[in-house]
Amino acid sequence: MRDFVRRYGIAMTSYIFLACGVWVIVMILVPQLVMFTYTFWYQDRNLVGELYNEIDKSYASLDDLDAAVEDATDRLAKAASGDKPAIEGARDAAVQRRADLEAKIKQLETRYEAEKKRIYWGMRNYKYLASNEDHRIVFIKTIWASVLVTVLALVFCYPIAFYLAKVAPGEKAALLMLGLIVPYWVNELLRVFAWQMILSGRGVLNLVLSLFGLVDINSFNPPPPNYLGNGGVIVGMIYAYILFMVFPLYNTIETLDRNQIDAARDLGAPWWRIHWRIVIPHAKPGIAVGCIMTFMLAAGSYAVPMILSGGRSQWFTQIIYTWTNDTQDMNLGATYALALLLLCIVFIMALMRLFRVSLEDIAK
Amino acid sequence: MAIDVVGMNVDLDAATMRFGDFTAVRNATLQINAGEFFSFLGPSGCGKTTILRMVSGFIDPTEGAIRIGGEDMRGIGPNKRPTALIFQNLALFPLMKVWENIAFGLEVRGVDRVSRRKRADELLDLIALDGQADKMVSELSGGQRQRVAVARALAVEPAVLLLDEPLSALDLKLRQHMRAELRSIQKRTGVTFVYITHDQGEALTMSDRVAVMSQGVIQQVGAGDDIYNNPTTAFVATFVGENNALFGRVMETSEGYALVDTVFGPLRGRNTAHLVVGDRAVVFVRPERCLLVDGAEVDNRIDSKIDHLDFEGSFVNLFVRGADRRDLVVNRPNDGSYKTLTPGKAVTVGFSADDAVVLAEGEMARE
Amino acid sequence: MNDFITRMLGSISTLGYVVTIIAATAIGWTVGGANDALALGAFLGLVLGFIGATVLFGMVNIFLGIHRNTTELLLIERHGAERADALLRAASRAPGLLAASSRQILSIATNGYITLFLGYMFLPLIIMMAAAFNANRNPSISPWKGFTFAWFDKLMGENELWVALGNSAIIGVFVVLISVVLGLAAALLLTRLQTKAKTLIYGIMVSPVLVPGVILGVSTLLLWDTIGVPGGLFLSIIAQSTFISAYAMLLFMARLQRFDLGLEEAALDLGASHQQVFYKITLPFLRPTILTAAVLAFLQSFENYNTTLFTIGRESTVTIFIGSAVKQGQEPTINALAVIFITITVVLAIVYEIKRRTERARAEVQRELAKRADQEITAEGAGSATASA
Repeated sequence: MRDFVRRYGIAMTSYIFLACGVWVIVMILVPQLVMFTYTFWYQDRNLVGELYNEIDKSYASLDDLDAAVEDATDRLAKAASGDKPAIEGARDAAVQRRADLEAKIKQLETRYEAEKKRIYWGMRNYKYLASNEDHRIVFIKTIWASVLVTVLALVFCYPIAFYLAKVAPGEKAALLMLGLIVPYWVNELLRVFAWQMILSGRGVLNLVLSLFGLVDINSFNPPPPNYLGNGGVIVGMIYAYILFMVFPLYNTIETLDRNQIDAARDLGAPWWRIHWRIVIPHAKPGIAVGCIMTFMLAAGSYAVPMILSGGRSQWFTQIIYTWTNDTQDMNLGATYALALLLLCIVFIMALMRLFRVSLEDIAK
Repeated sequence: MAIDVVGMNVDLDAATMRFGDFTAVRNATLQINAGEFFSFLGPSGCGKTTILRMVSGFIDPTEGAIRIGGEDMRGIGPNKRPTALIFQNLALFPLMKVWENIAFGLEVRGVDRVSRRKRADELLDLIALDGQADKMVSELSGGQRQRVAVARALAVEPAVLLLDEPLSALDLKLRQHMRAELRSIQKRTGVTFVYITHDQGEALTMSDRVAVMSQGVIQQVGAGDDIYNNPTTAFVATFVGENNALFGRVMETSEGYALVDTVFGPLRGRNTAHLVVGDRAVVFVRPERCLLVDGAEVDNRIDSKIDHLDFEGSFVNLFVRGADRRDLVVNRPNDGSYKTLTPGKAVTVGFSADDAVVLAEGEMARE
Repeated sequence: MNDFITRMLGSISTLGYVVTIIAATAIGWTVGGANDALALGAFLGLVLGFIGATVLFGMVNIFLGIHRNTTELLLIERHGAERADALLRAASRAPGLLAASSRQILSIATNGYITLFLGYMFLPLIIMMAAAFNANRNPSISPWKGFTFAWFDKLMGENELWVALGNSAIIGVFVVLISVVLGLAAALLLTRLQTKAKTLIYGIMVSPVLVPGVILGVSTLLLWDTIGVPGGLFLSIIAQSTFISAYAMLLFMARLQRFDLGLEEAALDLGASHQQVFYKITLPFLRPTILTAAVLAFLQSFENYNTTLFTIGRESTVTIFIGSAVKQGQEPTINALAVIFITITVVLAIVYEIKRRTERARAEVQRELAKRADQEITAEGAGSATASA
């Protein structure tokens, strides 16, 4: 530490440590910590809601009582002296009731304010998450869909990555690379939207199918089928994230010495064995990184399900959004987000164990 | 055109440098005189680079003191010491032109552009690179870059110039040329040069005095010929030049000489280490001081036969094997006589007692 | 000279592309609904221009050899272009993984696969852009109800969009400032610290890139919720900076790896103060990277959706605008926006990628040539160097 100051001076050292400190602590670690604590408390929103309604009703009653008092006062003014005591009595009673009600309202309001801020500690969030059947199904769906997307992406990308890295001659590789990268510079939302156009009822897919007479694209009753929903989301995800699989694969395969392949061939190995025993083991870190990235993107994807689920299915990230934005239940939102985070961590660790890779990733 | 700079002396006072468990420099004490060309010579890892970094200010010694011009330098950073360091890889600034590199030291001292340029031109003249001022560093050859590094360091008028194996990356011819250049620059400017190298040829030809180091310890300090002819430790004897090492035990001592019982019989040499009877000792004699004698009178005679020859062009090395399987090497100039020397031929090797040094057994330079 | 021609042709290609689009737009605009045929022709011109410019770019590169890697360039240097080409062709014909006949089949299959893959990548985009010109109230290319620029007009009139654009820009600028500062600090720290904690710190700093944007957004939202700060521009800036700084850091680290720390030491040794060392030595070296990092940060901030969605509260950015428009299912104004977006993106992407490759290749070649020149000069320099003065 002292050496650091000696080399870089006080000003630089403090800048470096301050900036890194702020970033790591305030922006990366503390929010996660806060999210974690949020999962352990909750507010009794029902109670708050009830109190609110009570107060509302009480104000209405108050208005009624006010009217009654006014009315009584009026009648008092117009009444004969003989009736006065009775009416006075009624009025006094009404005034009394009004005062009581006012007091009660004040009590309710204090309680309301307190309850709005009150925090209960407990596992209610987790219990909710565990007990909600629908959400559990969605969570499991997220897992297998993400896995499916990852696997399919791997299968589709491996040949491309291998071709780019080892087989393609210079000019072709450069062009192909360009052709792969350019679409990815376009915003994910727009790319997914394009797929909505393809998959919707009067979309391009049906247009093509209608050319073969398989679908009547102009019918209204029943309308032509649309392909949105779970399947559509998976297709969209593959489209959106496929390049994140190509690049790590490409990078690692490229570092493989071409001579190894030639040597294997020279020794008589068939092409599938060459891939299985030489290329793939060498590319393991790249495969691991690619899978991790794709899975994370798929599991944490919001735009794709939003656009391509066609209202038919719900995805986990959408549920999180509902909690934090619509219902404003931050605690449940935190809990669900934590669940997603844990899923990702578990996946990474499983993959790292499976591929025996350590933290030497991200060679972007 | 000379530059008026006066060098300062450098004092190492029991300087020790420890990195955790590892001691890189152990108790180094010596004085480098002002205006001297002083070299640290030793194999890689001996601690010479550490000493250089201590003197230049990048690290402070764990114990002991470094004094420059009499002032203790502890706590004073490299940018505040009257030293300039020439790095092994030169560390020339690639984004600046040659003259900007040279004038950098002046730039950070706030000297104005015109004066800086003028000074840079003067220095370029000194190092015979005038006309290259506006080139980028990458356009120069290795030797030229070397000289730019020297000029850049001299521009700040240091009292002590530190050089970290500056010639190791150059090829042979260029190295020889640069040796002469550096020496001549040093003489002209009078700056104290502290030079570290593992190449003895450099150390011996360029320096006024040399310090031989091994494993963090300074073995001997002295002028080149002194170190060569009168080594005080087995390491110095074997690291500097080639030396024959004959192991044995002291049998008797007299008047500055010692008789050592070796595998070749009793041999007499100078007892500079003041060993006593019974001490384990090594008799060191340089191959070029060994002669092939017949009947001539010599202090030391060894009757043996030639094991093999190495013809090396201008000289020939004859190997005579002892009973302990170690070789005694006799170095003779190529005067044609070697043609009669064949393996197996009986010869008598002789050398005078004054040409041999008896030292205590100890660490020796690895082959 | 070659260099100059390259750059000229490169600029011409870009220019050609831009001109084609502007021309097509201008023609279509003035002629518009009046003459469908002409307008359709202009549109076709646009699509063809798009494809053509890309191809032209590629061909320019191939022609001038920019795509070639260092080995090839050196071969050309040494043997001249023709011979080098022959050598390269011979090398690529060398036995690969299979026998000749099966290689031919594989070659066809491979080319087919690649074509399909590329088509798969580009087709959705082209379809989406086409729908922007369809006078159909639903975003679709069928039925084609005539060519029109009406949606572009409508897009320009959307007030919300302009507000969102402003917000995106504001957020982008602040994110750039924060990310570059933080990323640089982190890179400096990690490249110079030598403790065991280095991997851990590196892992933590890189984690925002891996973690789903949703979680970053939620956690930031919650943290500031405890203080009572609601969602909005400020929160989005913070959340985006959290992971964009990591990208900046990676860029700086890559550049700093090639930085010789000895340069800083040399400067110090020559008397520079720490500040001077930073401003005169380190920063100039990093200047190109700072620019790259800034541009990258801005682009990433601009197009971020997942994280921004959770932290933007009631405000809007361009991506949020697109998101809600798509969710609600609207008229093809979004398609018009897509056309503009994609055009800009594609041009930027191509220019950037080609520039990057050119720079890298050029730097490598220079290094190689310098190394060889050094050896030659050294050999002759040693002989002719004067021991004068």
